[in-house]
Amino acid sequence: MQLYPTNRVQPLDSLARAKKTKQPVRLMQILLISVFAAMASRVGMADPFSSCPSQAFLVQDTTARLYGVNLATGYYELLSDDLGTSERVNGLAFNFHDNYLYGWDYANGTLARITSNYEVVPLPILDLPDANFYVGDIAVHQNSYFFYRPGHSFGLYKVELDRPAGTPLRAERIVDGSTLNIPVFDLAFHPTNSFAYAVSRSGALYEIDTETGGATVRGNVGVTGTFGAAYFDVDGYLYISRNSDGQIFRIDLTASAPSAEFFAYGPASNNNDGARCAMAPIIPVDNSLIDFGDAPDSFGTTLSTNGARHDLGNGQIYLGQTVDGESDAWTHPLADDTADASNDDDGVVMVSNFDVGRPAILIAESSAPAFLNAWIDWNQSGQFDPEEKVFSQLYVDTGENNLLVDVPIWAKEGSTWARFRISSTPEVGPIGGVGDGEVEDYQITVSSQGTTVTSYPAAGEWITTAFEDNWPLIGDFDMNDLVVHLRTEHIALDGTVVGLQIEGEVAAVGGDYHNGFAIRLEGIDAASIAPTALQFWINDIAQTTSPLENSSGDAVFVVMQDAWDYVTRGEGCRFYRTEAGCESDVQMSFKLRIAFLDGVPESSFPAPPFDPFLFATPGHDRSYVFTQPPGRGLEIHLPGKLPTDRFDATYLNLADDHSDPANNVFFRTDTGMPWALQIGARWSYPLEFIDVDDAYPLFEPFVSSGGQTFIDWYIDENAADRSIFPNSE
Amino acid sequence: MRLLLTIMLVALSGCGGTSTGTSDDSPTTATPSPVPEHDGAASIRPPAGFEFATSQTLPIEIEVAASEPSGLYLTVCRATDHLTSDYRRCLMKTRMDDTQLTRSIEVPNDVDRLVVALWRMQPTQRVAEHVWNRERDGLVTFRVRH
Repeated sequence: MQLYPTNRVQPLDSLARAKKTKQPVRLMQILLISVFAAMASRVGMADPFSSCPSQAFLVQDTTARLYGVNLATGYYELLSDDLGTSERVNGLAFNFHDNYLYGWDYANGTLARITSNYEVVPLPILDLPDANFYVGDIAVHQNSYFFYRPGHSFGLYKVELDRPAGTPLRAERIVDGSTLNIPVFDLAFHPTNSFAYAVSRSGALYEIDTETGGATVRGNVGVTGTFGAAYFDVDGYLYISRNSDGQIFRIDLTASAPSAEFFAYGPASNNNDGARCAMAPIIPVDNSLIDFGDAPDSFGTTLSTNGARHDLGNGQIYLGQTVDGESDAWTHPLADDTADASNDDDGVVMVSNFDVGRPAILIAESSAPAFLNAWIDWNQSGQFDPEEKVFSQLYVDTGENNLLVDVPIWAKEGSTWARFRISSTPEVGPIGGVGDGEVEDYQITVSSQGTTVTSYPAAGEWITTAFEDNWPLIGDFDMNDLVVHLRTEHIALDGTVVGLQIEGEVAAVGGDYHNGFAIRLEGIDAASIAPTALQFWINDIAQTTSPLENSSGDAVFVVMQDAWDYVTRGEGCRFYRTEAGCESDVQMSFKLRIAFLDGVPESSFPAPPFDPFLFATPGHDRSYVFTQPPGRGLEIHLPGKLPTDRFDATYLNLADDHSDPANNVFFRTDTGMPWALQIGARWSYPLEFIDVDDAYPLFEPFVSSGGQTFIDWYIDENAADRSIFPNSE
Repeated sequence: MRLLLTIMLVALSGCGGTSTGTSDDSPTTATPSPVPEHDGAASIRPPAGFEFATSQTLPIEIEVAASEPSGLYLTVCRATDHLTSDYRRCLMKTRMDDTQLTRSIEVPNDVDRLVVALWRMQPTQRVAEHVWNRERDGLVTFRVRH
């Protein structure tokens, strides 16, 4: 497109404004013509912006300074404090058609173009009114700048910017300022519907037809103040920035009664005008400089729900040791903190349990002096209510800060979410953007008063159960036919266990057989389990089928009937996570929450991890030992554990099995080796077909000594080279 | 307030404690030495009754002075690299409503250190932290007197 020619002489009638001075008109005209001609000559040399940026632009101060603003967070940075003018620039607009900024140049009383190196270049325009203007924007549906000022002598004007070569720019009044008399301070064009929108000091939302000059009040958006900057994004959301406190509000124009929701904390100013490319998303997909939370989206986590988010551009304030960013939130259960190796939720430590009616101890580690605001969803409503704010504008120092939270007596027992936000902004809410800092979301458990929580092997750690599934035949002892990580946590009250949680993940399936997996609580009658309180998740999805297998006898929880139903081989892999080059993520995790009707005395509670065992999936063939699929009757237990009452005892002592039921010895070879092992860590089991004794040379002396030597034979450091599947975290 | 903080072990007698047991018969994590050739796991002969356990029981006894205000909070956690308590990896958390607490906890064989910490609620501060060191303290009862 062709803009105004750079070397033409400005017609005299366009300089009518010069008459307001006391100088002779002729002399002033000549002078301005020279100035404009000189300035205009620079236009051709200055570059436009390279693209339609997501960043918004904000111009402030009586000597114009230009800022870049991330509307999603309110983070802003000074782009230039020298635009080449000593006065204001207002009516800022980003031109989608040529990628230049435009604004009203108070020094020259005309529209100016602002180049990518932030230089104001006034444009000569015919028929300009004799005044400065502070409301303006460029349409998306046409390459025209519209500017407005109320009052009979002014009104709404239009300047077509894509005039043919040799044709001067000219201002055209659409409507006078008495007919269109609206108390607004900025307007912005919608990206698709050709209307401009503005919000008045009282909160009235105007929809302006710039072709006719007509305006319609769409209602009141519910906020008041001087909204000196208005912007659109490509999705049609209108953003307005309030001068007095810098708060940015978002308005969904598709709503029948649009209202302003707080969106971010931006810069405050007495003189404020903003613009952005309305065709750009609010956050580009390749942006990784915004930190989001990861609680379920009902708490306000993703951008679409105006989730809590912090700009990392400053990089000075964060919780813990690290913070990372993303273009939008990944919410539970798909949170990036758990899905990848980078967990930046490392700044808040829950020292104590959260007991109803009791104080709880936390440690918050801050990278710098800052303010902490925090919420805990005590009533488990799925959102953070005002009365659930546990820290408000709490000043924290660099380093560890010991904190106390009073758990209200009305808090609901069970799992819930907590949100911690740190920033230089003292008071923030549970949602919305902030220009610095970090948000960290945590899943916590609220329990009865005076509980003792015991974790095995420790909170956040795993043990491993590893099976050879060829029983009663001796297999290859690679101990990876089924590998399940486990951890447990039981809650006791006054010496009685009232609740139990078992978590697990299927680490490997290194055999073709179809195997199920279950856990028995030895000595705990199934009838003592509270059926309505039993909860079971697979891959964080609540299951509707009870895992409790029986109604009497030792409680048995069937986690899965067939491991192959939940995992898939990698491309080019025969099995799941047992071969080099087949290092997929863990594909199956589970969690059981169990409550005991009358509690179980701690003294008689079985030792974790209880009795995890493998069973044959019904309907699937096994080895030649079995003429029919053995199904649920085939079990393989850890050393020292007994079969359940569903075990088919006729299978004992077939083939290589040398069980001795009379002495409670089951699932042992003639030498006494078992078909299952429990390892006290997240074990790196042997690669496919590698004997555990070859993978871990210290296994044999450990076993032969009866566990007296080389007790940590199973750690990675004790493994032979290239013999194990790397599995430690 | 006088804080009497003691780990009752010979190795720490300078801290005011005395040992009530020894660790001489504890299993070791000694440096690997050459092992004889054999024919894989199938040929290994474990002693009768051996159950292949890779964790061991550690008894813990905590005693709080009667002068200490009630409501201390106790944690038993894995140790950080700096031998402080890693509260994200705790084995036990409980409020101390009595002056004594006795527990047994299972410790995996590769875990060499645990940290027992006592917290006071008001003001919120950690008032004691004791490190259990497998090599030094063994699996005899780990006693903390505060």
